[in-house]
Amino acid sequence: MSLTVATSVARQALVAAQEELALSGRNIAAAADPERSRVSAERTITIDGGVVITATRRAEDVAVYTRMIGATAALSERDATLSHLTAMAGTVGDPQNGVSVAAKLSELNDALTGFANAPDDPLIGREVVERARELAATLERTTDTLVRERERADREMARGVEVVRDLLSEFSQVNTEVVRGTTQGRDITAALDRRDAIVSALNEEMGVTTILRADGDMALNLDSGVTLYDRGVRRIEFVPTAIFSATTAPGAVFVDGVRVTGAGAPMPLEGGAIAGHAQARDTLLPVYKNQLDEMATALEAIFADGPGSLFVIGDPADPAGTLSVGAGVDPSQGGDVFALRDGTGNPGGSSAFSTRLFGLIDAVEAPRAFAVDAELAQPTDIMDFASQSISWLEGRRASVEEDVQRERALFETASDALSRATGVNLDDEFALQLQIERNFAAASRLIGIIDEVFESLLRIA
Amino acid sequence: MQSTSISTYALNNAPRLLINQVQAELGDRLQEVATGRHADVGLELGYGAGRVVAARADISLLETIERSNAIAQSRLDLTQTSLTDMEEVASDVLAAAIALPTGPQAAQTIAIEARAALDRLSDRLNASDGNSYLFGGINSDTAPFSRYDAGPEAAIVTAFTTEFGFAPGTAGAATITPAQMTDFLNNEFAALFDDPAWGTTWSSASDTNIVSRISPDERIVTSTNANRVPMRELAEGFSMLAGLGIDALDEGTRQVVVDQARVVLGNGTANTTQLKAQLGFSQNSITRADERMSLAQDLLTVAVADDEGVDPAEAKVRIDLITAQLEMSFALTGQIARLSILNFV
Repeated sequence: MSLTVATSVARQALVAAQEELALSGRNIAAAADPERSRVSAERTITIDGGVVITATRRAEDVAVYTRMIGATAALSERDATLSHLTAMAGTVGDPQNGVSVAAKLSELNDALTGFANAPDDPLIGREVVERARELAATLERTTDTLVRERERADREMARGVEVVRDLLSEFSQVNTEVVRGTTQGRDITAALDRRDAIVSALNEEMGVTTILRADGDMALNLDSGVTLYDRGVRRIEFVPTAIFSATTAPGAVFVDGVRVTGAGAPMPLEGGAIAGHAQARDTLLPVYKNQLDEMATALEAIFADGPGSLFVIGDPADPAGTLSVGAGVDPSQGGDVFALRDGTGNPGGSSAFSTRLFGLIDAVEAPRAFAVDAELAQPTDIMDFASQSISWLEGRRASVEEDVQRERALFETASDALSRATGVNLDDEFALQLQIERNFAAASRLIGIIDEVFESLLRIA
Repeated sequence: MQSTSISTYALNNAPRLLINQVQAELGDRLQEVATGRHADVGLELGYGAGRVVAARADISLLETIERSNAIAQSRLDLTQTSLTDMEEVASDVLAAAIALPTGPQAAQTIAIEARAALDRLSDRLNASDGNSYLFGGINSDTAPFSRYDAGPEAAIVTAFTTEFGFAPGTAGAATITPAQMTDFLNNEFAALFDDPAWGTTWSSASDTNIVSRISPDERIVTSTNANRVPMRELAEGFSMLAGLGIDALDEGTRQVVVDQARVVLGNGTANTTQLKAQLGFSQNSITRADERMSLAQDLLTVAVADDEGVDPAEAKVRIDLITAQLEMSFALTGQIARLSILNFV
């Protein structure tokens, strides 16, 4: 081996050490960013026995990464649903505070019992009317909250679709870069990191699975199987509703021409915030609305009796939102509470006529048939129906909350595992740098020695 | 090769995640210790939340009924007092009638006493509990019983004059025979105390009594009315002595009137006692219903507290644990931050 070869090897070692140091510096810069992966140098021994850096390798763990994005999608979906259920649970409140429809209904029933026991007292009659007004207002307020939550879900879905579109157009660029870099053998680790970050951000909105091809190209499918990206972005359609009302039938999300949200979607989206909002908007909240409507309709029917009707429904399409106290029994609308006591009975005009009031109490406590769509046990009396409705809502909330806890734990485990597998350890990097420094020093020293040897040789000559 | 490695990010992040979770729990537990109830009752109970609301509804219904039971109870108490008073008045008049000496002087005295008794009767029957008239039945907004001089007196005078051709207490009265008087008392006079004359002359009460819901499933009659038999009998007996001008009657005829009044008042007194007993049953039912409801209320309250409440001791133990955990994790965060190879090379 000649001195020239030795010089060449030492020079290669210097270059390799510098490249490695550069990579290590990049790792240190990436240490605080969970989306970046650790890179390492791939060395190749040259023909003369030296070392060159031929490629940069990126630490990856596809299995853990797949688990992580799956957990991201599931967590986002449950979290989105939970936010709506929590908002609705606000209308039920703490049982102690009695702000729920069921609590107001029980107050009305109390006042009715009071009035039946003292039918000649207009103040107690007024109490019934006021409790009825509060009940109607609570139903209206609850409906209002519900409609606003559906509207918010609709907006969130529109925002999610926007985010997905933006991410996909970026994905398209980065993916092209990866494919090109792969064929040209360039360093594509940064692009790969970015592409993974985009997929994980996509999963926050829509559950997405990935398909990797040999040339580094990646195709994206929704978790339901609809193609989202395959050598080009597929069409995503969603028309948000501008003005939301109780009777609005909002639009669905279409991907590649296939409906993916709402009842009757052939390939329904399962993960991501869009799926969570859609589930709240299209399934959970309408069922709860149905329960409220059933209560309003039942109340109107129970207390209906000509001029003594306690409740009137303004719009049959939205009973819960338009229930109000009948003018005939409401002193503040020019009515008379004794109209409630008498109804169409009491021909003698007796002031302590209580037959109808006791009839009303019986009607309130009598089992009735309710719509099957309300998803509650029936026939049952309206009080039980109202408390079942609370159980339904709180039960849903508790179970979704439990899901969120579980998915969050999974997500945290997966992202911790991913960070362990692909993340940077600063101490390790520093130790590596020390080692590189030593290599560099040794190579430099070698060059010095070779130089000295040359010098001796030249002096002799 | 990386299966046992750990990234700096994961290492530093681990205690941070723990701190978030633990602090959220600490907030909840602190609230639980302060209130003794779950921090989020709805979330804690889930599908059982409706049961608690229903139990609270039951409790408040029981409270409402107990409140209105108190009103019904006081109405019945007042009614009993009035009836007792009426009984006493009747006994006094009855005693005077039994021991009545002969002669117009004594007759005049008992007539005045009977007249006062009538006023007292109408006063008692028009008693109210401050809101509604006790003896009005379901016609509780009008005074049910007419004062003697506001109609009944004129009706009796008219009946008397129609029968005998002259007004009571006038000169011709002495000519009425005992037989004539007996006939008058059994027919024309008695008719004044039967329907329909009773309803137009004496009473505007309703025959229907007030019904109260004294427990969620019990409805009982909690009032009586001025149309009941003893009220009619007392009014009839008093009117015989007060309204027929007995001092002007012949001794024999007067004895017929007084005897008849004794029979009627005797029946009236007995029937009043019976009425009091009936109302006593209602009072007893209310008392028993109240006892039952108060027991049910206690049970429901305990059930609600069981469902909504937390064991403060347990929450306190959790807080101690969590605080220790937090402190440890703070210390750890500091230690990990200091743990760098840079400090040692």
